Amino acid sequence: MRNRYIADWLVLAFFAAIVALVFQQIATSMQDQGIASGGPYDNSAAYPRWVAILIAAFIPVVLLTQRWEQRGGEAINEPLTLSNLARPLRIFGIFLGFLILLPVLGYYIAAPLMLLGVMYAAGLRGFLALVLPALAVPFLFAFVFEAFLHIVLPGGWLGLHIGW
Amino acid sequence: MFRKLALALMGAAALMGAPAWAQEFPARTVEVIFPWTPGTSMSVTQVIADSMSDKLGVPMTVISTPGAAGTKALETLQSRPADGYSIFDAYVAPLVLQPVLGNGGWSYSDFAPLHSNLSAPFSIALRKGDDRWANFDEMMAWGREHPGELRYSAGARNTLPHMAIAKVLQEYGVVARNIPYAGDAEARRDLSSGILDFAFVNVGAYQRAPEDFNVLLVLSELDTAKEAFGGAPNITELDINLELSGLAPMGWSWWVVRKDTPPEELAVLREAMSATMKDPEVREAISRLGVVPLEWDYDEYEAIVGPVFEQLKSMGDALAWEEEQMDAL
Amino acid sequence: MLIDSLLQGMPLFWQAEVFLLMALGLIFGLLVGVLPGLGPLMGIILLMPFAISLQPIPAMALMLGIFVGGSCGGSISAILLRIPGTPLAAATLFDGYPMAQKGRAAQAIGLAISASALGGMLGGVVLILLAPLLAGVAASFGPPEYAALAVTGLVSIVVVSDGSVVKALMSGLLGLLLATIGTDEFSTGYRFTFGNYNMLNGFHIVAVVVGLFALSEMALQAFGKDLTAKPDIAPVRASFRSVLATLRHWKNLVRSSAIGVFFGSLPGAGGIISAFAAYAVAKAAARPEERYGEGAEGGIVATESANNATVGGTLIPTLALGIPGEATTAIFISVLLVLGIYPGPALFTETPEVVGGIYLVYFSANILLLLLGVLTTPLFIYTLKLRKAHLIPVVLLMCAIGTFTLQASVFDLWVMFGFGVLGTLFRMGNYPLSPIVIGLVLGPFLENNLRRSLLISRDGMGIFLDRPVAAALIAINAVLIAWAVYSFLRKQKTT
Repeated sequence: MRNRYIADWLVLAFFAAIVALVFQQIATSMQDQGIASGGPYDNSAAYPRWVAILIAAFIPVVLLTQRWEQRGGEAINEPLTLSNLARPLRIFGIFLGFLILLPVLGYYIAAPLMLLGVMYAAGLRGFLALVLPALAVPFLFAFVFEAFLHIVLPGGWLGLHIGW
Repeated sequence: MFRKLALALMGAAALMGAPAWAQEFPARTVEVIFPWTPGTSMSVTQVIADSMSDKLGVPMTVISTPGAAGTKALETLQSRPADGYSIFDAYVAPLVLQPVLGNGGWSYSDFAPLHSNLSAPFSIALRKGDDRWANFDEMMAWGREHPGELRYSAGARNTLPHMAIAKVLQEYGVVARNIPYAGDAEARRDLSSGILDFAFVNVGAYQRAPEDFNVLLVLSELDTAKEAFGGAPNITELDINLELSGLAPMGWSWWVVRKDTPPEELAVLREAMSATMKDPEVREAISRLGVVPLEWDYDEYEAIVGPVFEQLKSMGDALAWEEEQMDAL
Repeated sequence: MLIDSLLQGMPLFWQAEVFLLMALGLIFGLLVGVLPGLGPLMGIILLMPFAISLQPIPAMALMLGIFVGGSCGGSISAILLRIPGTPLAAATLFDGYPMAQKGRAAQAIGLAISASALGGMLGGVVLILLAPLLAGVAASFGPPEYAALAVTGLVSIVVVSDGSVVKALMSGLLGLLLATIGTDEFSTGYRFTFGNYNMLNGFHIVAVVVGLFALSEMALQAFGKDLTAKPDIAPVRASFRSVLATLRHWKNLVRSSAIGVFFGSLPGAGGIISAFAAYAVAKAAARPEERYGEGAEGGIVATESANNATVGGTLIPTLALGIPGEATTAIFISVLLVLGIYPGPALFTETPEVVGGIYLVYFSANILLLLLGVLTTPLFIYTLKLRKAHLIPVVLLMCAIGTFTLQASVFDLWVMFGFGVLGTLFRMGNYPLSPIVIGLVLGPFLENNLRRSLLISRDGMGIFLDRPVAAALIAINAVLIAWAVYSFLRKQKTT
């Protein structure tokens, strides 16, 4: 159960990093552009600074209260052990790979591969159950978006496009 | 291994329908990158794209990528391959004004033009029933005596309307408070509720509700623009020389592609767009949207845009002048 | 005058073409609503080139069909998948999803469709009757009033939030901060763009919403024990009886629709805020045994009637003043202009038949929504019967294409992915996600109107007290904040 609080600490660390980033950007980029001071016409920094200060002020409040906080139904019921994390991480790893490879391989190659990979990682077996959706779904989507809605999906280095 | 895979895939692609590179240009959807949020101007682009798509025989879609006065859309074009499938609806703000203001390292001559598209003349107007001043000169006289008290909007800051109005104010020696707005409609709302003293109003907004505005000055030399604003006085009727002529004081746009686009593709697009802009139905539809369709073909690009660049450069200090004067108050 | 315009509009409206296009628009609208990432705006943009080739009233039938269908469709994916198909439906999942989990998916969808249709019709009544009055009130608002109103919207996060008030506030503040990314409208400087041109206009809100809600949901679903199990769900269909179920909540329906129309008539406010506000009010007015957040019928009725009534509300300034409240109505105005119709006061005097035709189209689109929505529900219920091992990759692909479609940008895909990771983390840490969206929507509204007020003012913050409406709004905000702090402290004491 204690593992769950890792998420609490990670979110607080994220907020602290965001606050730090705001002040860093004000001191560097905005200072250089000359928009870190002056009246409301020229001062782009005042408003984000105030929002960041408010966030910073709430961090200790969360620290003090989250121990007693009642858990709602939002969070996961499974403990965050390494074996439980493995599958979601694999699935999102494949999705991440898809996003990286999409501009390179193009939609028509990357999408079926992604579907195949995620379905396999999710535990699905059997040729028909895997290959049929992996081929049918991307082409159905491509048809709706390209032929009907005239969207151009990424063609990749091979420049694969279908003139529907 | 990869060769085999690629060959197999090419074979599969050929079965499904020939891929783009095997056919004559254009073989698939052509995209027009539009630099503002959806609205009336995007409709003009849609109208042209729709008609041009009939001539090219492939669909054309308009993608709105607003940001940094059109800079994001311009950068988007530059990030695309120069294959003629991406067109940029190049308004004066990203194409000429941003480099003039020192916000971009490109020049208008870095692009290959297809055809001119539209011009959108605008005016300086009061709300109806505001009779504090009978004409523009009277308002300027009042403004000189009350520095910093007039409030106006030119839409977003550092845009062409802002620059042109700042130039006029500078010539009159009037210091006024510019209030930036993301959308023109918001600015007109605050004009009619009395928060702003005057605002820039474009033809479309004026023609929709001429009874809402008291137009003092049309920022254009064109007679058609004067007519569009119900015959209100234009800049040629003022006593002072504003050094604003031709297209410089107005918003306008050309469709351009990357300069390294192959000549054959370029020729196909130019021919289609030229025919589209000559189509009376298209011109009629554009006019109804409150902007003026332009007739200049690609070979006039240098002659038209070049002087505008020079004029805007000389106008650039009007914005700096306004800021200095406001700070000094 | 009113009856006249309706009678004159009848011949334009009573055509087979109009009804066909309306049905097409509704089904297309439901589709873009259900698909995560798209929404009514995207649907309208995509079919706009087709619409401008039509006559004005058939064109409006198509567009309003998409708008009405799209404002409702998002609720179906919110209820079945816990993914709001559009940000409009983000508040519908509070009660819609728990209801579906209890095996009442069909009733939940029936309620959502009925509430949408009835709310839309109520919005139509207000549109016709109170258009001049409401438009008059909204038109007199200036920057100080809008800034104060944005704060009211933000404070409503506290009322809406279920768990920790502080965590909800932090999420909301993060949304405000995210909204500052890009080009500052006032200084024209770049904030937090890190030299990347893709960030010049900040993150696309749809990419953020799809990532936060859809991807995090897929991540959490991937934690489940067996992803290949086939859920055993009896084929259920929504019934027209859900209209009666909705009418039992008639007070809630009328109140939420009124909230929807009000926010709709304010430029820039829109359906997201009205849905959240209506939910907050309904929750506050409900008896404790109704158990809001655990599958209360009233929760669905409130959000869905409000976001569809908003459509009627947005048409008020659009038609009466020619002022678009947001992007969708801006497209409407554009289409009308291309077709030679100029929205504004002159529209009512010069072409009353067009006004009447639009009223009739809007009304019948909501009636037709009920019919088509109920009939097509079994189709959407079917998605629940998919194996998770099939559903997860399909939804992931759908999110990717939908997000890519926005601006044909690979960068948006990375934004979506990043917010997917963040959303998962936030949900594991029990931070609510919807306040981020509210903050993102209200951010520019708040900052720009605040700075505009200060520019206009000659005595700094004094402008907020000099203007009676702004002062009243600020007083309301102060009471709301005091109440939130009080209830927070009381909660701490009891635990």
